[in-house]
Amino acid sequence: MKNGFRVLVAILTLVPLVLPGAAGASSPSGSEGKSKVRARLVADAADVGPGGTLHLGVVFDIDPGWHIYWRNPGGAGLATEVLWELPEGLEAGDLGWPLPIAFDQSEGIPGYGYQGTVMLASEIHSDVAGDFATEIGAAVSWLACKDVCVLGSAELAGALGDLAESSEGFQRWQRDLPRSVDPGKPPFSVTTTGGLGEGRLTLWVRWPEAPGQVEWFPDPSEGLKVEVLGVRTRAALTRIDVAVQQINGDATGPPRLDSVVVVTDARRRRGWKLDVDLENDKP
Amino acid sequence: MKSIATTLLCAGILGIGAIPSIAGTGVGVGDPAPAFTLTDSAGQEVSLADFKGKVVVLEWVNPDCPFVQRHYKAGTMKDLAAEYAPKGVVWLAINSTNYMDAQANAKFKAANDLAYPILVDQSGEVGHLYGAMTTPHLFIIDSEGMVVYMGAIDDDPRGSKSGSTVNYVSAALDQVLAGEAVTVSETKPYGCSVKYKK
Repeated sequence: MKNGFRVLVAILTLVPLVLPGAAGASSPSGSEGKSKVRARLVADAADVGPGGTLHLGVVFDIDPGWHIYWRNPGGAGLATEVLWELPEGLEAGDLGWPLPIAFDQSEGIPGYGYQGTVMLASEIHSDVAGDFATEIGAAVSWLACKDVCVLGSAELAGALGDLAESSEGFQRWQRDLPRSVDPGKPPFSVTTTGGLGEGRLTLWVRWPEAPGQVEWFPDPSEGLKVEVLGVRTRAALTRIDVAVQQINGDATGPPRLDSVVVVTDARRRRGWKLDVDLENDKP
Repeated sequence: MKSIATTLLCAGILGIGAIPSIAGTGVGVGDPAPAFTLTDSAGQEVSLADFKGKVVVLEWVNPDCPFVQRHYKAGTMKDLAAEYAPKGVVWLAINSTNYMDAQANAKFKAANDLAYPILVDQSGEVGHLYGAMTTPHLFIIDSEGMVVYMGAIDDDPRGSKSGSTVNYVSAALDQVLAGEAVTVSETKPYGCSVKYKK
């Protein structure tokens, strides 16, 4: 039996804002020239000193009925991209992706992404005293889809002092990020059967009690085709069936796959990073 | 941590049975290419069987998809089809978009001055038969009627690479025509989802 959990340091938030400046491609449904997504740059501090940290985020406000994509868009689509443009002395950590939602993009084609308003953010480390007049920027691009798809992009920039706003949005962003599993108090245990050699694996997730609705989101992987065949929960046990196949002529394939397991109950929606061993079936 | 045996036993007790696989939908590399007959945008019937013994490229297309628009603006598919036509390669575009009729496809074909047909698949039957997920999504069928490549047109989903793009279809066609095995026979397709009939 092999299982693994990996910690992801991150955070999420949902902040209701509207912002001009997002670009939109034309679509055939009468939406020509109208942006379906607006993006804006925000910070949780107006300054930062040597050795200090702050957070920068991009808030996406998405028109009703439309969605943008998680880092793994699913069977089609395009991951949203945020490229930080920072002055010397500031360094960005990994982008923190809030828990995605799952939806059908079309008949039989799964999609993972966001609706409404979402923030993608990073922790920023400072090696120097900030020059707060210096512009901080982000090159942002996304694909927004409803019945049709529209590409969008924006070049966002501003002085740090002008970007700062209430930390409430960042607190929500942090709350909604997938959590790392505390090895001393794991919220679930996982048994894996099958693997890459068999082309199929099953994750058996055991919870301390009936968890509510369970979803599973595989991370993107260049050398793998991953297809979620089904997620079923009965009482305190969830079965996740996955088809996995090496592609791109890669003879070995990656040994592990990052993923996120999400539980929604009456009170809240929570998610954890889950590192899946793909070579579980290797002798 | 529970053992596998314990977990499986519990699964049985709890009634979590086998989950039906959906992996059987669509084709895979090495499979025989499913036969089909469709009508093109000019009303002519086109069957895969018409091209027995030839190398055939199937390209799923949707003129409303920005990824398709980018590639047609750049001439990616049109130029590739023209480059390989003298070598006997047949190029067929298929549109499984539920709301795109023959007229809409004829308009796109004329606007782009395409030499190859666009086959109308509004029911999505052929799209599902092949497991087409995105526009564009490309399949190469060799002269023996076997699927030898499926996936993306290239390695540049965002269209942001300059000069270093790998065109998977071109590379696969070169190997097929040389009688070689295709090195990169499957890639993850990118683009809009195929807008199938619900």
